[in-house]
Amino acid sequence: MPIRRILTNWVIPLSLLLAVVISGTISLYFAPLIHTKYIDAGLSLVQVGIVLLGLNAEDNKKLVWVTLVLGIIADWYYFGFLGIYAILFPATLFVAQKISRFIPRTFWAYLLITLAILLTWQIYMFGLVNLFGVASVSIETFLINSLPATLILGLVIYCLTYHLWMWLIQKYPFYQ
Amino acid sequence: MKRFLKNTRLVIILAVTVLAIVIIGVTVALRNSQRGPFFAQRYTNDSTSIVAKIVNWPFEQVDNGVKSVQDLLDTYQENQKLKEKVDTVAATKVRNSSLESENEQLKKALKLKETLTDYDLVEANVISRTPSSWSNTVVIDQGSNNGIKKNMLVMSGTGLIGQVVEADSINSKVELLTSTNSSVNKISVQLNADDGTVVHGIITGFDKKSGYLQLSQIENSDAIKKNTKVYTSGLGGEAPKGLLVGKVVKKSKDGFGLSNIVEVKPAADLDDFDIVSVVIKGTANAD
Repeated sequence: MPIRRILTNWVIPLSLLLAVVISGTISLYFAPLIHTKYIDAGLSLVQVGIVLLGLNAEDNKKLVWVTLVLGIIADWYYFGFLGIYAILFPATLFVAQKISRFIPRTFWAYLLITLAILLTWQIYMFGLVNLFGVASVSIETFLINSLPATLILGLVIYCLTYHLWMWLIQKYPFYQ
Repeated sequence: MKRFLKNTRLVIILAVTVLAIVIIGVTVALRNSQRGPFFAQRYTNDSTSIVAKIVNWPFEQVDNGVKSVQDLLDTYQENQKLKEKVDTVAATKVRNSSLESENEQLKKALKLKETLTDYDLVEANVISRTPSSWSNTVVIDQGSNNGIKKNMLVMSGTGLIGQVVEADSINSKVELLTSTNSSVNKISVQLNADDGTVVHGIITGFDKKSGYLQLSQIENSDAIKKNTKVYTSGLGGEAPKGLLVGKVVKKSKDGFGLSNIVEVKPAADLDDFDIVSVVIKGTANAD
């Protein structure tokens, strides 16, 4: 059935889109826990999915376009301007695909790579948003209140969603 | 130079950084200058908000259930407090309605169609919050189809919580007062000092540690006392006069000791709200 084959191919992009939307919902309902006086944690549900996707589909060049479109949708929906997720999502996939051949395919190796990529992007974003006045975050707030909380939350999200992402990626590859 | 260009990784990193800077710079400037988003953005945002509403539904049901149980547990104490207030509320209501009709008559006598204090409220549900740590923006389920425009103020309960930064057809983005975004419009406020004078200022920041808003550009902070109520002044843009912002808790000087800073405890809970009201200026009582 061609329709079924098409739908099967689009499971991953649709799951990532759903993750973009769910991130906003979780962020809203858990705001009293993740945006407090001492903590300001970012939610990395989509980034975790994209890292795992890149690490497991290193030869699939079409995925960059999927992440680019997803990034544009997320930027427009959450910020009203482009350049945050529209850059972050494809670049995350690109980096994950490039390093996938050098690391063992294990839960712990993937976890370390995910956290390293999250750390790099947090620093990158901190520089960009301060540069344009989109946010004025002091280096103290970033290092004490934001970065550790975001990484810990990233670790929790990774542990909770690892098996689901791996199952989706292996069962429903995108046009391969 | 040739050696640098051969280093592909460095060139890619540099190209991505330059691309990000250019794209953010251009699109942030566009967002701030335009009255509303262009077609593709509006269409994408409206479609995404429909998906968000569907995804939100189970979360909303669980949240409502938890809140109902909490309300039930607090009912007895609340009932006692409300009983004490009932008599005074009835008296205030009668006084308010006589003041309202007097106000109407005076406006007619002065041939005023609308004043700075006239406004209507559009109720909206909050459907998403930005998942990043540095942005404090929420998405609500009412847009330009319901009369919402950029720069309109948004209330939760009795206090101000933010302002609309983008209005799509069926959803809008609200930048919260806790935001550190320096590219959005500043909200102008006023306080009634003890000596009867009206002191003006603007909301310029939010101190995360204390949870207080910061007012600056205040000419005479000596006349302001603790617990003085802070209201919007209605000066500029889409903001009506008289919306409660909070109460004064502290006065201080800025880092250079030159300008006055007044710290204000927000009247609304800026972290926990599901339903908000968008304030549409100048429509109530207008002929």
